[in-house]
Amino acid sequence: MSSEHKRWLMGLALIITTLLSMSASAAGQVSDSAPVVHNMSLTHHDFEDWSFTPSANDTLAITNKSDVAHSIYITYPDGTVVNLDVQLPGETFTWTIPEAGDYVLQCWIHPVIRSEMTVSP
Amino acid sequence: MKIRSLVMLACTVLSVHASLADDKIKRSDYHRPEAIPAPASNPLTTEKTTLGKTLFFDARLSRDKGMSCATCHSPDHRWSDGRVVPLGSEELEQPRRTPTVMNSAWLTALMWDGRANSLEAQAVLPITTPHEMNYNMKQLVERLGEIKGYQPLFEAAYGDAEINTQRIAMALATFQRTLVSNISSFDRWVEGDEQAISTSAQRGFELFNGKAQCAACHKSWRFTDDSFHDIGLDSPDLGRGKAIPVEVTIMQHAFKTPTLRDLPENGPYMHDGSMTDLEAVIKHYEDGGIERPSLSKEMKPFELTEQQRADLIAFLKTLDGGPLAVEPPALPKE
Repeated sequence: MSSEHKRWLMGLALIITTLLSMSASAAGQVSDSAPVVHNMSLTHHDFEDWSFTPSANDTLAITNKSDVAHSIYITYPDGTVVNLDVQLPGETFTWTIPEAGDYVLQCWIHPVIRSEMTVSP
Repeated sequence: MKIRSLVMLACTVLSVHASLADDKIKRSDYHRPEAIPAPASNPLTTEKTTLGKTLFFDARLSRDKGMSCATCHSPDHRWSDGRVVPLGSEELEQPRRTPTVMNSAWLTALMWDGRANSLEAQAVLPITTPHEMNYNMKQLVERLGEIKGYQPLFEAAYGDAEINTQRIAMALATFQRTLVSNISSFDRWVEGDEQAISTSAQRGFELFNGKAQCAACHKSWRFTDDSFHDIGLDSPDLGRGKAIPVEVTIMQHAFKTPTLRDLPENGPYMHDGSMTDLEAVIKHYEDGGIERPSLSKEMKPFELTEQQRADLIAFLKTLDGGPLAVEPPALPKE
């Protein structure tokens, strides 16, 4: 195998590795040391259903796909309330889950928006 | 050239199709529900409705026997009172207009500031509020127990004649759930009767969903999103902000979006009853309200012509289904 051929193969391997890494990242499944990001959507009146299982230290990236502003707040398992300010249409905001437990995600503006999330350790 | 023409034609067809589909989506957003919702813990029954209606119109629910629920939520005023300042609130620093109780079966947050989360919870508030009916539930239960005519009504509603706070609240809530707007000309138009509303009102509907962006908050068949917004009125009342952590700036001066169905002819409108004609209301939204950190992000200034304002008002008037055919009941004798 010529050196040029080897370089070509190494380059190909690098591209494949990079693509696999990007793919895993997009799916929220990267290596143990990398933060896990779960994508979520917010409509005018609800959080869209999610299929992932969140764990402590994961990050939620929530996109406001509605045409109105929201003001999301999260009630922690111990009752602590964390406000995430205001989310304008099209904006994506993040929140990192501090620990396992049951959380409630709500909107100050639209009380009808309410989702419960169980986080595993 | 032929290919280009075909592509343009296809685009035009798709565009028209999308426009029609969009129009249908808008109309379908306003379809009336088929049934009145009720919690499993307090299902709708005829007997409970009868009891609730009797209680609703009975002034003996107030301490001085001078005010019933219907005094301020009157069938003659679309179940409100037509007053800028409600009876008994004259001395309050920040009085709020009496909201209608029509279509309240669908509400998830009641009162202007949302401090009650169910009709059952809300029902006892006016009875026990000092500047309203100024009574307490313990004494009310005793008083109703002494009115013999109530015993068969409670028995029919609950299986026995026991009177307690929970049963009073459940009956009042049940009756209020039955107060649903009549079918209006707008509803007939939504169902496909193209002649049900004028072309002016149809233009108003387009403005409502388009340029004026009213539908950002006045959504659904009830024309409310049951949510809370500061619309920039010159009022010191903090509204929902009184009960929400102060750092939640967006809730300062925020009040619940009221329904636009069955609006009284001359108002008053807004939570503080500060406007008495719809043109003034529309102009307020055109101006965008007072700029402050809590101002709703949906408050975006725009400008309408005189004709467009008239179209918008013509549309709002199509939401009026007329007064409900509810006659005051014969009150039980002592």
